[in-house]
Amino acid sequence: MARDKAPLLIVDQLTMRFGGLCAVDALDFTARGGEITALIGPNGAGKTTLFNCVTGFYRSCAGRIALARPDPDSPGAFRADWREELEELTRSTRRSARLEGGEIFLLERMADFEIVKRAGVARTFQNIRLFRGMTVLENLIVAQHNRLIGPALDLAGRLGFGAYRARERAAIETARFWLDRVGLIDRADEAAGALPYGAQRRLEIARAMATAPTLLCLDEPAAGLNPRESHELTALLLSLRDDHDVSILIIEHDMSVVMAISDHVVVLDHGVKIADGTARDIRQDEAVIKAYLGVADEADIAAMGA
Amino acid sequence: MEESLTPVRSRSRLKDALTGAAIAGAIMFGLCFPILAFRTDQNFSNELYLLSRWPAVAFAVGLVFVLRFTMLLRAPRAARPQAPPSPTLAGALQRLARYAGGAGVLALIAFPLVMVALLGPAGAQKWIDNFGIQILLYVLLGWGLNIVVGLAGLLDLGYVAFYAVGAYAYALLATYFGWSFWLCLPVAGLLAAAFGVALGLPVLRLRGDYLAIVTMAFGEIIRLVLTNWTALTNGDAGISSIPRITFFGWPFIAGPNGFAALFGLKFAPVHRLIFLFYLILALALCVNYLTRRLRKAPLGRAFEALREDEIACRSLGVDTVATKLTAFALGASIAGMAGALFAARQNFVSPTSFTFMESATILALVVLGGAGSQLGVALAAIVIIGGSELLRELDGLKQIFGPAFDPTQYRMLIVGIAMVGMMNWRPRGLIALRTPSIFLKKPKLVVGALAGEGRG
Ligand SMILES: Nc1ncnc2c1ncn2[C@@H]1O[C@H](COP(=O)(O)OP(=O)(O)O)[C@@H](O)[C@H]1O
Ligand SMILES: [Mg+2]
Repeated sequence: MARDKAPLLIVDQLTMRFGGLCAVDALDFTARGGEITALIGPNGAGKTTLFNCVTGFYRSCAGRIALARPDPDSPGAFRADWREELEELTRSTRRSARLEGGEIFLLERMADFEIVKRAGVARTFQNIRLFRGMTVLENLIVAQHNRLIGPALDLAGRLGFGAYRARERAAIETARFWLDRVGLIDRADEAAGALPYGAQRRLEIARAMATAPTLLCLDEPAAGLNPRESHELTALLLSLRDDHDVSILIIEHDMSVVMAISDHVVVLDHGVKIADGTARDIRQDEAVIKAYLGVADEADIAAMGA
Repeated sequence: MEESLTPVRSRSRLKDALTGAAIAGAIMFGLCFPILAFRTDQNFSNELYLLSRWPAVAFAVGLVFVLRFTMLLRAPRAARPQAPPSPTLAGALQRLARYAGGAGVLALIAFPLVMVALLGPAGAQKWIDNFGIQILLYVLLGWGLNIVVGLAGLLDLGYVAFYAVGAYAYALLATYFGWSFWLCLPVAGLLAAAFGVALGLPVLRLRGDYLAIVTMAFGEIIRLVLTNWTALTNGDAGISSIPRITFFGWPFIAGPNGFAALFGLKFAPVHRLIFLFYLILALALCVNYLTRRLRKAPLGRAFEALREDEIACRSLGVDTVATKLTAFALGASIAGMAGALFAARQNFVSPTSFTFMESATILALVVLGGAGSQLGVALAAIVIIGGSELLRELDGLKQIFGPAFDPTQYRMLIVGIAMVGMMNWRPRGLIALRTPSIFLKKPKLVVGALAGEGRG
C-alpha cells in the first residue's frame, strides 16, 4: 500500500494509567486518511482503552491525540503535512485550529460529544450499545441529533416546527441510505433490541456512519459473527473506505478480517506498541508471533492467515 | 409414563405450597409482632397500659398463609415465558388509547358542568375541588415527572421540591408584592426551572440509585429551608391569606365588580373552582401537547436515547449534560406552575404539603402508569388519587366495622397492595407499550420490556 497519504490521527506518547496499572504506555502511532488501520493484540493489551482515550471517554494521563478533518466539500485542498501547525496548536491553549481546506483538533482537550460533533470521530462498542427500546430508524435519527437540532436559537425547530421539517426529511433520507447499505431497510420500524446479533452489529456501524464521521473506530466488529456475516462485514468496510471517504481504525481478533482489509496494522501488548507496519510485515514479525500468540505454535500462525 | 408422574408432581407441589405459605406466614408474623401485637393505651388515671391484639395478628398471618398457599398452588412450575402482545392486540390497544384520550378530555371538560347540574352549585363544590382539581394537579405533576423519569430515565425522588418552589413563589410574590396570578404563574415556572438546573448541575455525574438519593435529599433540604427560614416563609405556620385567583382581573366575589356580575350570573363560590379546574385542565393539555411534540423532536429523542444508553448517546455527539439539565428544567418548571396553581387553590401553603410522601406518590403515578406513557400516568392519577379520595366517602363501612373504623387510614395500605399487584402482573405499568416517534412504513409498538429504565 502506498504510504503517501496524509496523516489523519497522530497519537504521541499517549499514556493511560488506572491506579498502578499502565493500560497504555507512551504509545506513538499514526493512522492515515483513506486507510484502514487495524489495532491488534492479546486481551487486556489496552486496545479498548486507547479507543476510549481517542473518543474522549477517558481523560488520558499524558500524551497528545491530534486529528485532522479535511472539509468534506473540498477534499483535495487539505495539506498533507500539518505537523508544524500542530506544534503551534499544542503550545496554545486552544482545542482546534483552522487550516486551509480543513481543521485540526487536539482530542485530549475536547469532551466526548464534541469529538463526534466537531472532529468527526464515530465509534462502536465491544459490547453492542444500541438504544434497544427504540426502533432501528430512531437509532439512526438520534445519531443525527446535532444536525437535526439546528441553530441554538431556533426554538421552533427544537419543538419540531418550522425549518425542522426539512432537516428531518434529510435525516430520514440519510437513515434510509445507511439502512439500505447494511441490509436493514426492511426492519427499520422494529425495535433495535429485537434484532438478531449480527444485525445489531451492522446497525451499530450504520448508526456510527449516520453521524457522517471522518474517522470510524470499530471495536471488534466481527466478534460473534458467522463466517458469511464476517465476509459481508469485510466487504462493507472496504466499501466504506473506498466509496464513502471514511478512514477506519479497527480492533479485531479475527485475523482473516484483519489480513483482508487492513492497510496498516499496529500491534499492542501490555500497553506498549510492539510492531507497526503492513499486514504482510506483521505476519512475519517475530515479536508479534511471540507476544500475540504466547508461544509460536504452528497452528496459531496458520490461523493468522500466513 | 406421563400419567404415572402426575400425582407425584402434584403431591410435591402441595408440599412446596405448604412450606412456601408457612414461610410467608412466619415472615408476616415477624412483621406483625412488633407492629400489630401490642398497643399502648391510656386508662382514666392517665396510666399507660399494654393492650394485646392477638386476634388481629392471627387474622393477618392466616390471611397471608391462605393467599400465599393458593398463589403457589395455582402458579405453574416454570416461569411463564412473557409472550409479547400480538400485533393485533397491540394495534387494538393503541386505537383504544387514542379514543380513551379524546373521550377522557371530553369527560373532563364536561365534569364540572355535570356536577353542578346534578348536585347544584353548593353540592358540586366538594367534587370539583377534592376530585377534579386534586386529580388534575396530580396529572400535571405526573406528566412533569414523566419527562424526567419516564423519558429521560433520571430517577428523581425530590420532585416535590419544585412544586414547593412554585407554590411559595406565588404565595410570597402575591402576598408581599401583590403580583397578579398571571404574572406569578410563569415566574413560578421559571424559578422552579432555575432550581431544577441548580439541582441538575451537581448531580449530573450520578446515576441510578445515587441520583435518587441525592434528589431525595434535595427535596428534604428545600422543605427544611421552608420550615426554618421563618423570617421569609413563616415556618410551619405557613403563609395564609394568599390572594385568591381572579378571572383576568375580576375577582370571584359577590357584588358589582365580581365575576358573577360580569356575566350576569348569581354569585356562587363554585365559580372560582370551576375556573381553576378549567385553568389547570388547559395547562395540563398544553403540557401534554408539548410533551407529545417533544417526543417527535430531537430533544425528546435525545431524552429517550439517554434513558436507553447514556454512553451510546455520548458516542453519537449528544451533549448529555445539556440534555439532562433541560430534562430537569422542563420537569421542574411544570411542577413550579402546578405549585402556583396549588397555592392559588388553597390560599394557604405550609411545608407540610411538600413532604417526601408527595414525591413518592407522584413517582408512583409515573411508575404505575407506565413510564413514558402520558395516558397511563393520567389513568394512574385518576385511580390512585381519586381512589384514595373516594375512601373518605366510605363512611358507610363504619356500620360494618364499628365506629372506630376510619377508611382513610387504610389508604396507603390499599395503594401499597395495588402497587405490589401491579408490579406482579404488569411490571412495566398500565401502558407498557412504547409508540415509536418516527417510522418509515408503519409504526410498530415496542414492547416495554425492551426499553431501558434509565440508569442515570
Ligand atoms: N476503567 C478501567 N478501570 C480500571 N482498569 C481498566 C479500566 N479499563 C481498562 N482497564 C484495564 O486496562 C487493561 C487494558 O484493557 P482494555 O483496553 O480493555 O484491553 P483490550 O486490549 O482487551 O481491549 C486491562 O488490564 C483492564 O483491566
Ligand atoms: Mg477490548
